[in-house]
Amino acid sequence: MIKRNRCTGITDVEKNDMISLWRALVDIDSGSENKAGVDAVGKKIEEFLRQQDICVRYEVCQTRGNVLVAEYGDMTKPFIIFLGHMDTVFSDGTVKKRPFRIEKNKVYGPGVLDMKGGIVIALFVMKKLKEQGYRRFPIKLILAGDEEIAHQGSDTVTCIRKECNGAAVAFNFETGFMDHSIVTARKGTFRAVFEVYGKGAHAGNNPQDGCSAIKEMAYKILELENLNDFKTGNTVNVGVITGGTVANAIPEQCNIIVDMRFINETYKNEYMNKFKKIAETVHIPGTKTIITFPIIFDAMNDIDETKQLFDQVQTILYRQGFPTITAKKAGGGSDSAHTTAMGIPTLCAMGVQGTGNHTVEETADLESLFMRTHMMLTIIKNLK
Amino acid sequence: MNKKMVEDIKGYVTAHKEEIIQKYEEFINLPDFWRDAANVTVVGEWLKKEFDAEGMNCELVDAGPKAGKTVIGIVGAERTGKPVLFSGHMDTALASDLYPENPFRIEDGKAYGPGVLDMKGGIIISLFCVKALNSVGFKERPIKILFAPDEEGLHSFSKVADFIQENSKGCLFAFNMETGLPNNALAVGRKGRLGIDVFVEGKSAHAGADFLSGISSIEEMAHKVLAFQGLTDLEKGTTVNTGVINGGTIPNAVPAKCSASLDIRFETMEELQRVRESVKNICAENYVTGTTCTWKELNLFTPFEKKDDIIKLFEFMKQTAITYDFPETSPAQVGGCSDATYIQLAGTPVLCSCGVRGEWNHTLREYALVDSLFERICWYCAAIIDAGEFKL
Repeated sequence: MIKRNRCTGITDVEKNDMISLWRALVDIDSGSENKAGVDAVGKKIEEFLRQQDICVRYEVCQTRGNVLVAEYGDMTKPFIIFLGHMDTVFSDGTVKKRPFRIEKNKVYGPGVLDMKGGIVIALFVMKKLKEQGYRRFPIKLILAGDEEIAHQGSDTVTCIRKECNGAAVAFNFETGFMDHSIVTARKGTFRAVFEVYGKGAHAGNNPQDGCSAIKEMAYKILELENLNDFKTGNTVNVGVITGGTVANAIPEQCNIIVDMRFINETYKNEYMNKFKKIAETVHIPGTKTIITFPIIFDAMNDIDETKQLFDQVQTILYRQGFPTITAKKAGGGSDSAHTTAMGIPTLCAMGVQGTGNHTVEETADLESLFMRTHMMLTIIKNLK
Repeated sequence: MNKKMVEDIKGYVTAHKEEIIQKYEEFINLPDFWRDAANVTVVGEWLKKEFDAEGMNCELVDAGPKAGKTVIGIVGAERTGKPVLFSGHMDTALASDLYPENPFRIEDGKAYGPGVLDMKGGIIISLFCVKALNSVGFKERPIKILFAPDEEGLHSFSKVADFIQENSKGCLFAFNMETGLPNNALAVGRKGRLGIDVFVEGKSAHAGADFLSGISSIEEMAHKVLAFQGLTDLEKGTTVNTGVINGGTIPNAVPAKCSASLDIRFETMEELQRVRESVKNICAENYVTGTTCTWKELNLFTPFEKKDDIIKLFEFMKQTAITYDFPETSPAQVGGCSDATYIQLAGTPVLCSCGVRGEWNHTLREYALVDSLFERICWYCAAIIDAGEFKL
C-alpha cells in the first residue's frame, strides 16, 4: 500500500517567500517587445539567486530581453536543464489594470501561469537542492526573454542550443495542466501574414473604381478556417486582422496574421503550400496578395529518449506517493522543441497548474506552486 | 420667355466682368476654414454688406460658438410671386494656413484659391444674379439667400440643418450653389449615407493549448463582411462598404473581439430601409456558434432624391438653356452629400451643383473655370425671369 504524499516539506515561511517572489515577478510588465521589462524580471531573479550563492550570467540580446543563465554544481559533468522564459504575451499597462492577486487559492495577473509561477518553482528547487547539499547532477537554469514571439529576430535559439550542449535531461517549467499530465511532445507552429492590396476609392463618389481588400480577405479567412482538421490536430487560427483607414473609402489594404499548429514536419509543408494557394487565388479582381511566414516554430518531437525519461519520472512519483502523471501531446509550442531536436530527453509543462493562458482569464492554482516544487525536488533527488 | 430682359442681363454681365472677378478675388482672400467660427462670421458680415447694398436686409443668425453665423436675406419681400432661393455654405474644407496670403489667382482661365470652387464661386454667382436682376428692373418675385457657416463639418455642432429646412419652405425652387461639375451637368440626386459600426464577440483561448474552447470573432466577421458587401446593388446606386476592420490582439490567441465600420450609400429612402433591415438581420445571424454581435448606427445623412419635382425643375433649366442659347446641360447623380437634402425635405424643388464649374475640391489643386461664372449668372437669371413658366 502506497501512502499518498500530501506533505510538501515546505514551511509556511518559505511559502510566503515564494508568493512574494511570484508577486514581484508578475508585477513587472514584461511583454516580449518590452526589453526593459523583461530584463527587470531577470534582475529580480538574479537577486534571488545571488542570495543563494548561485552565479548568474546573461547572454545579451540587443532588441529583446537577455537570456539568463544560472549554474549550480560541476558543469563539466552531464547536467540537468531547467528551461523557461521571462516574457509574457501582455502589453504594457496590464499590470496596472490587473496586478498579481490571490483569491480563494486562485492566483491572477499577467503571466502568473505562463510562466512566472514556473520560474518560482525552478528557483526554489535550486535553493532547496543547494541547502540540502545535492550533488548528483549539476543544474543549469536557462530563461529566455522572447519565447512568446518565438525568438523572432533574435539569437536566443542559437544561445539555448549552445547552452544545452552536454545536458543529460531537460525540464521545462511551462504552464502545468490541471489534469496532472506532463508534456512529452508539442505541435509546431508557423505564422503566416497575408497582406491584401486592393484599390482605394471614395465610397460615395466612385465606389465602382475601388477593389475592396477587406472583402477579398473575408473570402480568404473562410478558406483558411476551413483548413482546420480537429481529427489530426492540425489547426489554423486567424488571430489578428487590420484593414482600411476610414469607413468612407474602399479599403486599399487588409492584413491578417495566422497561427498554424502542425503535428509534424510533413504537415508543416503541406499546410504552407495550402496557404500559398489561398494567397494566390483571387476573388475580387484587381486585388493582389502577398504571403510571408515570419515565424516557424518547430514541433517538440516525440522522441524515445523522452519516453524513457517519462517512464522513470512516472515510477519515481508513483513510489513517492504522488498523483499519477500521464503523458500529453500538447498544442502550444515551447522551447522544448530545441532540446528535443538535440536529442535531449525533455519533460515540459512542469510549472504551476492553471487555465486561461494568453487571456485575461489566466488563473493559476496556488497550492500547485508548493506541490510542484515538492514534486520536482522528489524527481531530481531520485533521478538516475 | 422674355428675350429682351435676358439680353439686358447678358449685357450687364459682359459690362461687369471685371467687377465680378474683383469681388471674387476679395471674397476668396478672406480666410474661411470651417473649424474657425470667427473667420466664417467675418465672411458672413462681408456678404451682408454686399447683399444689403442690393436692397436686402440680411440677418446673421447665430448657429453656436463652434459654427459661426448663418446669413439669410430677401430682396423684394413685398413682391407677389413665390421666392426663388440661392443656398449654399460659406465655410471651406481646408485650413486657411495651408495657403499663402491673398491666395486668389487666375491662370489660363482657371481661378485658384481656397473655396474657389467649393463653394465661394457659387455665392458670387448668386450675388451677381441679384445685382443683374436689380439692374434690369426685375420685380416679379422675391429672391432669397441662405448661406450656412458649417457645411463642411456636416453641421455637427449646430442646428443649421433644421434652420435650412425651415427657411427654404414655400419657395418656388432653389439653386444649391455647390461645386459645379466640369461637364455643365446639374445634380438631380445625391446619395445619402449611413454609418454602422459592428462589434462581434467570440471567446478567447490559446491557439495551441486550448484551441477548441475558443470561438473566433474574426471568422464570424468574415461571414458577415461577405453578407454586408452582398447588399450592394449598383443599379439602384446602393453600396455597402466595409471600410475598416480590426480584430484580435495576438496571433496565438483565438480572437475574442472584432469590429468593422460600414459606410452605406443609397439614393432613396426605400433602399436605406432595405439595407438597414438586412444589416440588422446579418448582425443577428450566427454563422459561428457561440458568437454575439452588437451594432451602432452613426450619422445618418438623408439622400437628395431624384424625385419628379426635381426632374421637372431640371427639364425647366434644360429648356431655359436651349431657349437662350446657353451651354447644354445634363442630369447628374452625385455620390457626396450636400444641404440640398434639407431643402428637399422642406418640399422645395432644388437642383444641386449649381456653382462655378471646376475640379478637385477639398484639395490644394481645386480650381474653377472663370467663364462658367458669367454663363451661369445669365442662365439662372433667365430661369428666374421665366420662373412663371415652371410648373410642377
